[in-house]
Amino acid sequence: MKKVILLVSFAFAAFMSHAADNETSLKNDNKDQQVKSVKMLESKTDDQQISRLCSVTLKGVVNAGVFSVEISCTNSAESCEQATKLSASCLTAALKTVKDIIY
Amino acid sequence: MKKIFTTLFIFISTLSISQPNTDGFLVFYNAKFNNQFGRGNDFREYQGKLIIQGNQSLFTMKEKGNIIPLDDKFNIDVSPDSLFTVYKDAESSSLIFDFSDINQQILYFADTLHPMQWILTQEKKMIDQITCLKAHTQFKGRDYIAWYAPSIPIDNGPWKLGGLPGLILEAYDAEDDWHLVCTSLKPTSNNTFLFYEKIILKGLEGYEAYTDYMQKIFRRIKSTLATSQTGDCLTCENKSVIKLHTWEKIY
Repeated sequence: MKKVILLVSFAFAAFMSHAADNETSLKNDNKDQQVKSVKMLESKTDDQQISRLCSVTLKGVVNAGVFSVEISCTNSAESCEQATKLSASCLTAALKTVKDIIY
Repeated sequence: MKKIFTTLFIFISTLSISQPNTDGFLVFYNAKFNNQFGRGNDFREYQGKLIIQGNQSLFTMKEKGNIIPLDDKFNIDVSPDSLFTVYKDAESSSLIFDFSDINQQILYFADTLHPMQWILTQEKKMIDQITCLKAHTQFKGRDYIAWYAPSIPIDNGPWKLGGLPGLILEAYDAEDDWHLVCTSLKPTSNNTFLFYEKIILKGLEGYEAYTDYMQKIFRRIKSTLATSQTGDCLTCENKSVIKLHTWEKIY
């Protein structure tokens, strides 16, 4: 049982590391599951021209039965690619900490 | 099933009259627990087992069947084999609970034995032909309801619950995220709890140490998130949220 859980954890951690390094993988392979929400935000600049920001939220949960840690990373950038990259980087860092605690 | 249960109960009652201090009891509960308590639904089925031997008891709650993970690749499940594990020793007023942290290392902490203030009611119901009375309490941030059997004069129950004038045969929290119902009660004997007795002799830290430990993990992840936000993108906006969900309230 523990082996199965650890195996899943390993696979997930490896996947997250890969996701951080490879944007193509994030976009094409697991778009629906990984990118929790993407929305365009409007923001006004000094010269009143409207620029649009893309906001991406990634969420991860470590469940240990009677307690769980929920991590959510939201990033907004001019391009969705950049926002995704930032959110993936944020979540990877957080989960790396969890991984460091585990191993 | 009911006939067997009644026969067993009569047998146990007879034994308890003739040998009040040496009997052991094995109480099984059907249990369900929402692994996403407070934020969603992920109900799983467990078997609760309460072994009572003299003044000592051990409660465990193990998952039944195969685990069906959520269809979400962002979930890491490091749940231990048994949840809500609690050892009690009424003679020394000791209670030990175990805690499996995220590296699946089991840590043991002490807590107060049956500190909850129960409000007793006269509401009755039958659980497997045994008359039970309703009681409720608030304990570590949650409201609990218990149905206890005055005809079984054992002030014990699942997990940390107890201190009622009868064995708890059903218990649940007000949100119904955790629910146990007794399915059988059997006589047992020769149970020893040497492992826990040794732990007590070594000395244990209390509930405060447990909450400190939880907060330490929480702060560590939180600080990692804070440092990861210092990027070189001046126009980017970022917001990270970290939430710690614990069954017992962390003070």
